[in-house]
Order: sequence, then structure tokens, then C-alpha cells
Amino acid sequence: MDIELIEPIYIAIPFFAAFIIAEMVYARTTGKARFEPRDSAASLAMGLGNTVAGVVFAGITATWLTFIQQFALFDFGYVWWAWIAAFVLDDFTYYWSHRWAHTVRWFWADHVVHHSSQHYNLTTALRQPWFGVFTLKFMWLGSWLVLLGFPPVMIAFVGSLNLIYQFWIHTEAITRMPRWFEAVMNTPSHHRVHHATNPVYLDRNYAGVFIIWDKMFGTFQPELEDERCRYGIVKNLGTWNPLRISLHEWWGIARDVAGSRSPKEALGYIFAPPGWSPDGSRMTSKRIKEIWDAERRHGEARASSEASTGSRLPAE
Amino acid sequence: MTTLLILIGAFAAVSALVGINVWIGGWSTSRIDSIEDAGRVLTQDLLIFEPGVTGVLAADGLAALIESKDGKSVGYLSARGDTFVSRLIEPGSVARADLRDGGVIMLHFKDFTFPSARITLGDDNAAREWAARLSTE
Repeated sequence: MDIELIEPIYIAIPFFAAFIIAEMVYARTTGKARFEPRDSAASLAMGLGNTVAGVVFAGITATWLTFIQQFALFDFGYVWWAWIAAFVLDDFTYYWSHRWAHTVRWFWADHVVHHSSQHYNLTTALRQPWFGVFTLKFMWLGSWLVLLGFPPVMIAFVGSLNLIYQFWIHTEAITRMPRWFEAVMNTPSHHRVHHATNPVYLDRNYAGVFIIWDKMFGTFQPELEDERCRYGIVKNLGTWNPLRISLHEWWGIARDVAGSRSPKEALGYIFAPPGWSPDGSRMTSKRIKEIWDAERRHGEARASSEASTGSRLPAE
Repeated sequence: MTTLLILIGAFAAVSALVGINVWIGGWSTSRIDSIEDAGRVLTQDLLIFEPGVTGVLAADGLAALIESKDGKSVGYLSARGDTFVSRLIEPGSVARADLRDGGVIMLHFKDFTFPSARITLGDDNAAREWAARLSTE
């Protein structure tokens, strides 16, 4: 049996627009969120281009998933529990797909687009890549769900629900959700951390819907009261041009590979973590965290030393 | 035809949202208040940058250049919209530094993500001096 489902994202788009306007008004009246028209224009243009590209590339994914369906171990069909299982397992797959999108440069070249805004508002949620076809990472990673026995239509549907959920968490307008919700679900607070470039926040909170994956796999970082998020990427862009935003990391990979001195170096530039270089002259997130941590410890030691010296002074 | 209409509609919707953003307002262009502030932002952004004593703030407050403590690079801070963007200018970073009347430097970077920048120093001599320094960086 097969069924046809409407693409939920198309239904959600008018609501996205309404919420964006509401957040703009909220930002204007309270000052608790930030919008800048050129940034908004770039994000929305990226979203529009991503939707167009999605229509084109969806055919590739659909063809692939339908092809592999014949090799599935089971046939779960459309029973109620399969929907719930598919939603949870799809989110688990999203976690790993997203984690690799930050730790493998080939995937980062695609995903960096989403992080390239220095703002964090609902338009940022729509800032999505145009050239996902270069990676098709979810197609490969999502294949296991179809091979297990979930229908491709179901996987596509729950995947769209996952993306729709992630829209509302791109906001500074909501400080914290109730404690129980923060414990289980991805929230604006958790996702602000993910979009921040403060060293303590780098490469944390990869979750889509359930934050439990980060807690299970050691990548969870709560938002700290005394560490305000600074959004963007380590080397922020000096352009609002959507084409440059789309292509910049691909361009960087091409240039690095062209200048590499061996196949091993070339592979490093493509598949090593973003910021990798053969001589270590650039900085990966790991290196940034190490430097930051060393400076922090040095600062604490100095403060402690000054405090103990100070405490001795009166006695002397 | 339907696809074309949807595309036109989507383009109109995006334009409308940006128009609403402009109409509602609520943002202001960032300004760099002092060289010290620029040094703090550069240190925070570039992490390995230690500001030296030589630096210049653009007359309009939209840019700042600070030589590093070891004199091997220049930290460049640019106001962009309501935010700032930092770059470490090292030897080979600049493709061209042109001078314009009014002490203006037009910097062209070999950086796909930051193609060019306009720095208004308001002093022809200072502009000439910094342009020469940046060109050798």
C-alpha cells in the first residue's frame, strides 16, 4: 500500500511569514530581538532558493529511496506506531547528519550557509543552502530507515515535520521554556547556543527536535547567564550577496585542493573538520576551544594568585 | 506556468517581508567608538590577535585598523549593517589598496567573502601611509 501526503512545509510557509512579521514588531517594540533588512533579505532569498532547489532535488531523493525500498528488511506500512517511531528515528538521524555537517568540511560547505547570519531571528531559520545536491547527506543517512522498513513517503513527511519544528526555535524573543520542556526538547535557548561562536558554545547542541541526543552523546551545552551568545561563524562574512553566501566554502575547498601538495592534503581539505590545514596555521573549533580554555585557566590562576597576594597584604 | 506563478508569488512575498522590515525599522548602523573598543572586538573575534599601539579609526566610525603587537599583521574591524566583521590582514591578504580624494582607501581583498571595503580616514597622508602598509601586508 502506498499513500500520497501533502508537503507540510508548503502549508507552513504562510505561518512562517506571519510569525516573522510578529517577531519584527516584537523586536521594534521591546528591543529584545534584532532584525536588519539586508540580513533579512539575504536569509529570505536563501530560503526561497532552497525551496526551488528542493523541488528539483527532491526527485533524486525520491527516486533513490523508492529504489532501495525493494531491499527493505521489514514492511512497517502506515500503522500508527510506525509514524511515532519514524519521527523519533528520523530525529536521531538528523542529529548525526547535523553533527557531521559541522565536523566534516564537505558537509559544512553546505550547512555553513545556515550559520552565516550574525543575527538570530526567524528569518535565520529560513537561511538555507542552495547546493545541497553536492552532499545529499540526508539521502544517504536516511536510507537506513527505508532499508529497515519505513515507507519513503513517511520518512519524507516526518522529515518535513522535523524542519517545521525547528523554525520557531530561531528566536531571541523566548528566553526559556518550562523546565520539563527544556530537559527533553530542543528550544530557543538550546539552539541559540548552537548558533553562537563563543568558544564555549562552539560545536554544541546539534539536536533537531529532541535535545536528549546531545545529552546522550556528550554534545550538550546549556546557555549560560553570563555568556551572551555572539552569532555567526568564526570568520563572519563581509557580504549579503546570496550567491557568495552559497558558494563561499565550496570556493574555499576548491582553492585549497588546487593548492594542495599531495592527495592526502587534498583529502584533508575536503573531509577534515572545518579550519583544518596541514601546518595547523588555521583553527578548527577544537583548537579555538583549547586556546580559549588555556587563556581562561591562565586568567583564573592569575586572579587566584592576586587574591592570595592581596589577602596576605594586611598581615604584612 | 503554475510553477512560474508560484515563484513570482514567493519573490513578491520575500520582497514584502523585507519592505515590512524596512518600514518597521528598529536597527541602527553600528559605529566604532574608539580604537580601544576596536581592539577589544578584534581580540575577541580573532582570538590570537594582540593589538599593538599603532591604529587608526575611520572618520565616520565605520572602520578601524590596528597593527598587531608583533607588527606582522593588521586587524581590520568593519561596521556592517548593525554588526561588525573582523579580518586579520596578513601578507598577501590584500589584492589592491587604492586611494581616493578625502583620505579614502578602497581595499580589495583576496577574500571571496569580503571582496572590498571603503575606509574613510579623512586625511590624505594617513590614507597614503596605511594604504602602503596594507599593500605590503
